[in-house]
Amino acid sequence: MNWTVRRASLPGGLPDEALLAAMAHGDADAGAAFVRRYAARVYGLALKVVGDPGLAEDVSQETFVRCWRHAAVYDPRRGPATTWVLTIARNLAIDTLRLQRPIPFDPALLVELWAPAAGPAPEDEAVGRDALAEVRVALGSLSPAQRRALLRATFGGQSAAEIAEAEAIPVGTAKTRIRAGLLKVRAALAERERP
Amino acid sequence: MTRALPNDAGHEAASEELAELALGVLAGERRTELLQHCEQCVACRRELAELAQGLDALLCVAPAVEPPAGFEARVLAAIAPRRRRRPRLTARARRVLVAAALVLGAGLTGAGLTRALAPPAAARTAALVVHGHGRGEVVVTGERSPLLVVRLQGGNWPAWVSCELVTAAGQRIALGPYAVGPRGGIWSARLAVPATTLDSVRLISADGSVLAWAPLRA
Ligand SMILES: [Zn+2]
Repeated sequence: MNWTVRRASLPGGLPDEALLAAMAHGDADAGAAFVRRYAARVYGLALKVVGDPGLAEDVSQETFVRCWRHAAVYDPRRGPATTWVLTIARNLAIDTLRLQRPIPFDPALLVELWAPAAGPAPEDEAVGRDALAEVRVALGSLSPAQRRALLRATFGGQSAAEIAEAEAIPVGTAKTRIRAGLLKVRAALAERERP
Repeated sequence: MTRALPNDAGHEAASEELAELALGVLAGERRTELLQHCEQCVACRRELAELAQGLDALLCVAPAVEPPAGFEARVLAAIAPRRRRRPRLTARARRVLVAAALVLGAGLTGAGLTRALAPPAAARTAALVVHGHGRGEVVVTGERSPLLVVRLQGGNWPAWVSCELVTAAGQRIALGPYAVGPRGGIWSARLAVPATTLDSVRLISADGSVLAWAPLRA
């Protein structure tokens, strides 16, 4: 019978689900590997939202503490671990931002997210490198007003009512801009996946 | 069927706010109402899923930035106290352990940090030999009470899979059954026998037939 036994330097080489399964069993080595794998992604996202290195670090640390505590409830069938950990980071960052108010969230600071000159994107399981470029193109193709609304909601955690106030537009217009923007980003991905 | 029709007034109002629901920026009560509507309305459920995919993609656009030096060590120090403590420790021993943990946390810089974060001794990964469709792998990490991770992918797996470990001495250890879907799944178990005594692992269906096996000899 033809079988192979591979040697790998683990748990660094384990897939995300296996790392999380090991973390759920209290395996600190797996936890360390997980932190190393996602630290820069989590910190980068937190920094975009809260805009302050110290706060971003607090948010990032709490993100990993929650990943460790809730590793057992992660369900790979519901989506890749990247999405799971970045969603936790975003929620914590937005909660932190809300506590910091009235520090205003400035969508102009997010220009590098969609500008073609944006730095190299990390290899990603949830959204591949090419798909990431498509998402950037989709963001760039939105009207400036639509893009500001979408970025305010995504990275600033602002509701349509808050966006309406900040942009001096009707709430209905803010709702439409968020929805159309998000669907356009999604459509860019779907377009790619079509054979 | 209680499914709302697309021309329903509730549906119209709901679909305008689905993006805010997906983005998590909606206040509590309205959020609950919308979720209830989505339970009934296929069209809204589908759009909500698409909007959520849009958000997932946007989160990946944020560029990675290396956190300040010592970040990993601080996270590990925050995680470590949450690990299960051994029972029957005297109060003094506990104090000493906490002090040691604090020293460890504070001292994890430079070479110490590199050592603490270095991958442990090589763990063993074995590809499963599958009788039928599908593939999978088995990972054993740790020595004295190793962690077994089984990952099944693709193919046509049954809803439940049991696991049987065979030691070099011929002892059989039953684990599971574990819930698996047709597309596979992942589970793990902490073993009470040393990794070096393991000979092989077999995956068994509810009717007792062997679905797959993998060698685990060191
Ligand atoms: Zn509806």
